[in-house]
Formats: sequence, structure tokens, C-alpha cells
Amino acid sequence: MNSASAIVSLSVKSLANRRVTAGLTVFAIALSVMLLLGVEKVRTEAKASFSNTISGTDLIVGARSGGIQLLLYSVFRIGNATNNISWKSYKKITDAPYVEWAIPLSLGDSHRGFRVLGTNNDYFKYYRYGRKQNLQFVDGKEFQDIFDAVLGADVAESLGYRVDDPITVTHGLGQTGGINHKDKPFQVVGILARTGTPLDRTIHVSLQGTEAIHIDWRGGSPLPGMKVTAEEVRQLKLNPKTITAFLIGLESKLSIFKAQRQINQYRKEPLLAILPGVALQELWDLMGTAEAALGVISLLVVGTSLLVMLAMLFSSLNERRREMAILRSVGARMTHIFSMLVIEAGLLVGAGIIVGVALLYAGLFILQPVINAKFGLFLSFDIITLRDGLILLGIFVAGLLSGAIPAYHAYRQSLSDGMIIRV
Amino acid sequence: MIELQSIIFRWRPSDCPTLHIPQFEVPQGESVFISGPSGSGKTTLLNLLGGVVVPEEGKVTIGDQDITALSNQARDTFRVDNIGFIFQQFNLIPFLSILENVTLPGHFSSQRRQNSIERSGSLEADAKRLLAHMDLDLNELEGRAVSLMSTGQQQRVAVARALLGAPRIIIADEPTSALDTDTRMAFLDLLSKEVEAVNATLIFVSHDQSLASRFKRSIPLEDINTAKGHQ
Repeated sequence: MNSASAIVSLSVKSLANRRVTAGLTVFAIALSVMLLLGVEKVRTEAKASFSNTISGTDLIVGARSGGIQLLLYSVFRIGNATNNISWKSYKKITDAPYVEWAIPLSLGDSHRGFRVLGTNNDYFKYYRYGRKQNLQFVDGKEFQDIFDAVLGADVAESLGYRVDDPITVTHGLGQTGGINHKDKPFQVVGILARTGTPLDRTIHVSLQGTEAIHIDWRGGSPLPGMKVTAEEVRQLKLNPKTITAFLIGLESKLSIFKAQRQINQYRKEPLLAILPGVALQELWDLMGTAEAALGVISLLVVGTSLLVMLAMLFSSLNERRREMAILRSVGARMTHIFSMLVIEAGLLVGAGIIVGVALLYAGLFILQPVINAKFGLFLSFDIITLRDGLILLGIFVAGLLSGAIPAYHAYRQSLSDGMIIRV
Repeated sequence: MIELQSIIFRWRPSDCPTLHIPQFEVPQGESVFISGPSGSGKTTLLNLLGGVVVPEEGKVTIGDQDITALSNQARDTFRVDNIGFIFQQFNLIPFLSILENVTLPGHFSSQRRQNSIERSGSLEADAKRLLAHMDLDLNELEGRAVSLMSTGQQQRVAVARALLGAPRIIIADEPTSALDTDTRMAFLDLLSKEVEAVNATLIFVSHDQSLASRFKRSIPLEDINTAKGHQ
């Protein structure tokens, strides 16, 4: 063993001797590392799942309001439309030659907290998410009948529904309250594969279905004395008069702006057409401040944990004067004294990082199902990314650099103490 | 041989000199007792001999090396190669085992490591040999925390460490002051015997005049240090 490895071994043993304070320091660093990586993970996964929500759609069209609001209610099922758009306008616009496909969306009802979306079978044909992936069925098939329903993966999983189960739609939103459409129950005919998007939390029915359950309603409540049964409703012509929004795919990407302008200038009704990518970016930018704040907070926590380490190293210096003097007398150089403290800082931060990463994965393992169920955010278990690695390296270097402060102090102290042992 | 020539040393430029030693010599193998009250500059002298501090003027020659001419790092290496230290008290690093404490100099001096290995085959074996010489039963003490040993035992471990790898010089700074009278004399005899056995030079510093009779040569520090007005 040469002097270098002797110094490393001395650092390790010295820390082991102070295992309680050293352990607490490591734990503080570990928690901060876990927090920083955790925030980073949630941020990147949220952004990914966010921009994966919709793909392959050229324009989203709704009643004139804000672009972000339209995106939120049509794609993320957050909030409500202020206005509906007429079926006539939908027909008129989508009849244009540059439109390849269109998906009508009708929102407003729910089932036990999950949104019910009225649409048509083109939804299963044209809707794309992630990297232009199609929707897949894990069970059953598309809706055919007026009262057929297709469930998103989360809906099926958290409510335990299977194909052929009956469900009752509630007017309006929310777990409870609202008025039930119990007179016209739906039947589950299909369950979609998980997409990691709000679609997993949606119940899909036909436009005729949403129309049918509201046939004896006017202005948001049932018409007194008017009762149309489920059987009677089948005899009726169920053409929707209004929808909430619609998605458009164009024949050619070149006509996007032309189509957007035409829709925005549509005279019969105030409409708004947005490009999903642009609106997604706007929305993400809106959340950028919160995201940056989270990042700053986690950085501050890391800084605090390094301060904890500094406090611990500094407080030990005085009681270690004798140790330093003995080491000097047996030939330790000033550089050895200095490096011993830096090595200790390195060991503390290194251990903190390892424990922190372990805590992060343990936390992910435990919380992943909960987060997925509650927030629809799927946190993958992938290995540490290059970016995470760089962050960890940064923390390690910061730890070594801050270790240099008490190390320099010890150096000065030992230089003036020499081999005088102060009892 | 140790030789001090025209030494002037002061801690701060504005201070009066702590040490002013025109000439002082110790031949190799001799044991010298240097006495002096506390504050007379004994510790400074030891720091000077160990090369921890350098004098403003003058030469400190050990063997045939003027250590004031060496760089800081070279002096650190020279110190551990040539000198074993024994301090007043708390000589041992509390979180190291007895054996680890004794072998410490061997990790910083390749010369002393080499000497130990030539003598006993390995650093540990040499440390065990020396501990046995110091009447310490390692089997009995093994695994015991250094801080739980008696002061006398701790001081003997410190001697074993100072002797490891046969340095030419042993410097002892009041090594007996923490010991009671009975163990004090026994400790002194043991130290002298072991130092003589390896033909090392012993510089023994103490304020305790009663120990002077045990040494062939005994000098009050005032006789070699002509500095006046130091605290």
C-alpha cells in the first residue's frame, strides 16, 4: 500500500468512525439527488407523453376561443368548450377537397369521473398518437350499435370493466351528482390498448349514442313528461345538431395554412382552427415557468445538502487536529491532508448519489402505478439517461469542489499546527 | 548525526526569536535529554528538527543532509524516512487498529517499509515484533479500540510506531508526562533499550528533571538556546 491508497483508506476509516453524521449527510445528499432526478424524470416523461398525445392530425377545429383552451378540451379532456359548433359547419368544412379525413368529437357526459366522447368510427381509423401509432384493441371491437361503448385502457383497468359489461352515462362531469342517463345504458364492446395519453381515460361512444341519450333533454336537463325509451330511440333519426370540436387530416401538408385561414374566416359561425404542434408548444411554454421553478428548487435542495456536508466536515476539523498532527509526524504531506478531506467529500457525495439513485428507483417502483392511475403519467423504468449522468457528474464535481473549502482550511490549520498536538 | 548551526527562528517576523542556537550537535546513536520549562521553545525545537518549520537563518543537518535546503515535500519525506516521533499523549489515531497505527509510517516512507520487510518479511510482521518487544500482547489487545487502552499501553504502541522501519532518529516530546511514576521508569527503560538496540539517536525532551539521571547526556535548553525575551 502506498501513501495514496493509505490516504484513501484513512478517509474511509475516518468516515466510518463518524458513521452517524456521515450517514445522515449521505442521506441528505441522497434525498436531494432523488428529488432532482425525480423532477427531471417527471418533467421529461410529462413532456414526452404530452407531445405524444396527438399526432398525424393537421388541424383541430372548435368554436372560437383560445387555441390552448381548444387543445385542452379537445385533446386533453381538460375543461369545457364554451360553445359547440354546428353539424352543418362540420359537414361544410370537411367536404372541402383538401380534407382527407375528419373526426367529430362530442364531449359533455361522463361515467364515474371518466369523460365520454362521442365520435364516429373514423376515430379508430385515423386517430394517431405517439409516433403516428394507430389505436389498437386489446379486446372486442369498434362500436356498431348506438349504445356500444369502447373503453380506454385506464377506464377498463380502474373500473374493472370487460367486454359486455353495461355502463350508465352521467350527464355532465364529476364522480357523483349530475343526472344519470340510466334509462339508456351502454354496453362495452371494445377495450383499447394503453397509449399513455388522456385517451386511456376516455369512454368512446358513437355520436348517435350521445344524441340518443339527450333526445328527451333540452338545455341540460330532462324534459318533464317526455320519455323516449332506448327501444324507441332506435327508430329515430339520430343526426347530431352540434358537436364540440373536430380533427382534420389534409390531403397535403401544403394546404394546412390555407385550410386554417379558410376555417378561421368561415362566415356562418365563428370557428377556430389550430395546428396541434404549435398549440402543444404554446401550452408547454406556459408551463415552462413552473417547470423552471421546480428545477431551481431541486437545485437549491442539492445545494443545501452540500452545505450540510460542509458543515459536517468543518465541525469535525477541530477535533481532528490531533489526527492531522499525527499524520504529519508519520510523513503525510500537506497535499495528503488536503486530499484526505476532498476524498471524504467525494466519498460522501458518491455514496449520496448511489443511494439517491437507488431511492429514486425504489420510489418509482412503488409510486409508478399510483402516478399512472392518478395522473395518467407513465414513468418508465429506463436506465439513467446521458442527461441524468451529466447532472450526477455535476453534483459530484460540485461536491468535490465544496470539499476543497474545508480541505484548504485543514491544510492551513495543519500547516500552522505542525506536529504540535493540542491536548 | 544531528547538527544545528547558527539557528534563528521566530514564529512571526515581529516576534523576538524563539530559538537562537549558535551550535548544537548530537552524534549518531547517542541519547540526549533536553530539559526546559514549558514555553522555553522545546516544541519549536522539535518542529525544527522534524522539518515542519524552517529557521530564518542557519542550517539543520541530519546525517549529511541540510534539511533547510529541501523543498517542503522533500522535507516531509525526509522526516518520515529518518525520524520516529513519540508525543506526550494521544499518539494514536482513534479509528485505526493498533496494528494500523503502528504500520502508518510504512505507508508514507518506502525506505522504512523496505527496512521492515527486510527485517521481518512484512510491515505487519515487523509491527507485531515491535509490539512484542514493547511487552504488548497483541492477541489480548486485538480488536480493542485504541482509546480503551491505558495511557501506558498507548505510549508503548507509539514507541513501536516510532521504531518501525528503523529510523535513524527518535524524537520524544514529554512521552512520560501522562504516565504515573511506576510506569514512567519502566517505560523509559524499555524505550532506551529498544533505541539502543537499533543504534538510533534519541532526542528526549521534558520539563521533568528527575528523568535526567537516566541519560548519558543531559542539557538544559537554556544552555544551547541563547534567545532572550521569548515568552
